[in-house]
Amino acid sequence: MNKEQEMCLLNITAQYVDEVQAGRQPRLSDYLARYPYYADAIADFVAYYHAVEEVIPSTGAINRVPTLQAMNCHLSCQDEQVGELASVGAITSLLTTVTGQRILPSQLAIELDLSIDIILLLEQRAIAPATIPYILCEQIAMLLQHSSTAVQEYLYALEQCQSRSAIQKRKQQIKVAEENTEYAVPFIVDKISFRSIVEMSLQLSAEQRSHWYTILVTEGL
Amino acid sequence: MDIDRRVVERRVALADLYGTLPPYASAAFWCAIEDPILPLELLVKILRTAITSGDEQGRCRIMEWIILRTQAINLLWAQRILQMHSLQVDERSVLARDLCADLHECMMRALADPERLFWEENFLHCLYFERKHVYRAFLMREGLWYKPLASRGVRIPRALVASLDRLLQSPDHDRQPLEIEDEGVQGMFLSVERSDLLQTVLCLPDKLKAVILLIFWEGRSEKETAQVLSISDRTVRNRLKKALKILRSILSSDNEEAFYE
Repeated sequence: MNKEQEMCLLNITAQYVDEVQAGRQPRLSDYLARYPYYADAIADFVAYYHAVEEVIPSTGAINRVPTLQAMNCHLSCQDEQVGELASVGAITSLLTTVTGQRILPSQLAIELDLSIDIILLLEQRAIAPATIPYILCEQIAMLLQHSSTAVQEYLYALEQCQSRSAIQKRKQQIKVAEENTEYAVPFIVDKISFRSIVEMSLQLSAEQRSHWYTILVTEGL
Repeated sequence: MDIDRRVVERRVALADLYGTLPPYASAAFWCAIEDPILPLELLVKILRTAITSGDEQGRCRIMEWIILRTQAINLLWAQRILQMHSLQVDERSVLARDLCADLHECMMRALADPERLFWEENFLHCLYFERKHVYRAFLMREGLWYKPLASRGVRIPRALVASLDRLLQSPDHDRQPLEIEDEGVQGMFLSVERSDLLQTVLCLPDKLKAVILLIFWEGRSEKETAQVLSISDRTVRNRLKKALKILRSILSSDNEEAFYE
């Protein structure tokens, strides 16, 4: 497949994914009939997308729809899901203080003695909240001038919402000849634990790693 | 129509955003780059500008930032991939790192290629494709991929390798029985987990996937499938037969030569 064909395939499959994400149920057969030249490649992608990508919860890192307005009002804009969650807790981002002052991930990393990659994971709520040390929540709360409960609510909010919506979405989209009830409970990807992230981080120094291990042991995590 | 409109809107929004960025390499510019809500598509465009202008430091900084921004979803992806396969518990973290490292390498290559324009338009979708390639490479490496005219890899369980190491490192030099786990038996026990149609279909050659998906996933008849794919009923039946044979061999995981005859 040359670059031009590759681009064409990307456009076609992106359209399919857009339809799925818009809540429609695109028919694979329509796409295969419309683009016979790419039939095998489309089928390959569709099988992969539904088996792997569709069930991975969005962390908010990529899915925000970029608009000029969004950039102008900075973090006041969030995607629909995060917007829904804003009512749950007062915090909408770990990179904004209670007074609306912006903090760069690198600044927060220095303040918390963590690496930028872990700060971004925390901001994206990609870490299982139950595995995050309480002392870290307290430090974040102090820096953002929020309560530690508000920080915890922020960290937990997306998880609850996503597991519910992912299960519902998956149940609706199973399209097989047999009854849905004959199939197992839909698969949901677990979030990563704070310990694993400390272990896997490429940026954390040995001292920082050991510091956080000690805290994890102290808090029994 | 609605989708086309959204694509155009997205392109316009990205172009507008690009226009509002502070001058390249200024302090304000780097602050803007570090903003987690800046679309990754824009970062790709800026990265390519840095490459074209020969700014090596800027290139590294932006590339690193893109990897950091996508690390979380890539880790979740690796976790998802590994949960789809029956693996030893201690293998998972090693394989997760391998998968992420492979993916990041592929991403870096793609991001630096100015001809791959779709990255500047829909980053996430390009990432899906990159992950698909890495996943396929993983399947082949682990001996889970069925490809005609290519020899199938034979998976060596890491637990087995580890148990050999333990024997060699035994301090008292006593002879100990090898603790080799029977992967075949484990596979049989885990066969229920692997029964999900889509997951299993991923191991099939591309030509056979469409037939299986149309018949079993979309509920079409053989005749309808033939019409959609513009092939004869007989070809559909042949492909179906071939695909089912492979699927059976995957599920029983004991018949390697089934597909190669």
